[in-house]
Amino acid sequence: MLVSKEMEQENIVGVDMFIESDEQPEVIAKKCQRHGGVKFNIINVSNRGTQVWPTGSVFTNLVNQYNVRFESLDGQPLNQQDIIGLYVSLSGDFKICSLELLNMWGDKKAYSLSQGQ
Amino acid sequence: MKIAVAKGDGIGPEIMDAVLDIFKANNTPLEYEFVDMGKWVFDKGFSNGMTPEAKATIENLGILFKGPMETPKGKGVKSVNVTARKTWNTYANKRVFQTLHGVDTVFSKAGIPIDITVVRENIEDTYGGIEHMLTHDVALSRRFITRPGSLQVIRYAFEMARQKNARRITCGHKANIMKITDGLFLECFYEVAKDYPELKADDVIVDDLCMKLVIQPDKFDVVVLTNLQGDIVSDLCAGLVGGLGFAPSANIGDHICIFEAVHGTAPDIAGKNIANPTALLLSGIAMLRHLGYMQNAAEIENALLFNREYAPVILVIRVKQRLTHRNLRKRSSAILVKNQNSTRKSCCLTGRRFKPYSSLRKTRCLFPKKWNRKIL
Repeated sequence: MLVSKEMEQENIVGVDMFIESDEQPEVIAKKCQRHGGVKFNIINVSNRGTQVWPTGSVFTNLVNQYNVRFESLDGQPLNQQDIIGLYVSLSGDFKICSLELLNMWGDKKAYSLSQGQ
Repeated sequence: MKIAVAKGDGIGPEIMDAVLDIFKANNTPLEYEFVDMGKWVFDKGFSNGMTPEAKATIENLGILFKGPMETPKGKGVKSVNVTARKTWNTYANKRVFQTLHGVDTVFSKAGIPIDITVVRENIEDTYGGIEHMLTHDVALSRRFITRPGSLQVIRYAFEMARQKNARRITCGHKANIMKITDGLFLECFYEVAKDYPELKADDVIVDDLCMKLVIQPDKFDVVVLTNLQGDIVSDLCAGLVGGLGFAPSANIGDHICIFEAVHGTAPDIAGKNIANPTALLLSGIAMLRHLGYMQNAAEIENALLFNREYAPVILVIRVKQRLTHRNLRKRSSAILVKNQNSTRKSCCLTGRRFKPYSSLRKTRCLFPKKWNRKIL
């Protein structure tokens, strides 16, 4: 198998939830905050890669798929069960199209920021 | 009319000053509000590369004229250029590539004229910049193509093609491999094409398109592509007419438009006042046309390209334009030297002659004496 030999410590610090919605970013953020619970904090909402909440521009055109970025509330590492718990909770309000884990390799982010974040 | 101006980083301030001087020489009726964007704004702690005041000003004025900007590397921040395009939904990047008089290329020497307009989708594709490491060894970049986004840019391309009486509009794609994403873009292209029966609409796979562009560029007229492929093909087209230094760029949105030079900040020559402002000037000309200042745009363009009627602008251009492009260097140097001892002047770009400055001054008081001193 083609695998690198040296790997850094891996931690899950959050999740990107790609959801379908035709609502405005503020409404989506408000709904999502209910699902964060005691483990997750909603960082931002983006549309086609551009941040639209908490700050954004009224001139950004929106399509009916958003990325809601959740991160660990207290900076503590998460596990997959935490993510699944959030998925189940969030699916009560939205159709979740897909998700991606937010990993840290050592002290380095293994994911990109949204445009404008 | 007031517009927002961001001078940019590296060579940005000097080429922007050169272009604004030319606008002034032409009495272009524009006022400028300078805004803070670029590398030094990142350094001050604004992670999107612009201050809130700059953002508010641009959204209020609706037009941004910007020099090249640098994104700090290794800090995980996003390009301010892409942020600006995406935040304000400038969904179409229009770039016009034309044979320029006096710029020697393979095609100009062969007498093959080039007039290609590339319309690049400006928001979606891999430029969403949504990337994740799945494992330590596997990275993923999401590629979004949406129906509304595709229809928006394709309809703009068809409208623009109709207005310029284009004979052909071509969709570049890779739908043979990316059947879902590029397939959707291609499907939208032919859906819109039904509304424009007078235009010949066809499609070419992007690798084949690149080959055909360098073999027979005169066969193409308007080309519309997705974001990443459009980025590559538009730089290829710039190479056909002399390089990025001769390539204007307009980012068109419904509410805000951005006109910019697409070349880099060239930090190695910044501050030396030797950078060539032609690309930014061509973008400025496109901006004047967009704003309805057709006469001003035509006068400056003619002065730059054809040496007609508006000699003062040429003189300013000649001073400001250091013509770093190798095709022009020898010629411009020779002409500048020659002009110092000559009563007749030639355009630095074309080598054609026009009336001596002294006779122009008698008939038309078109520019301040200080420019004369700079030149002579």
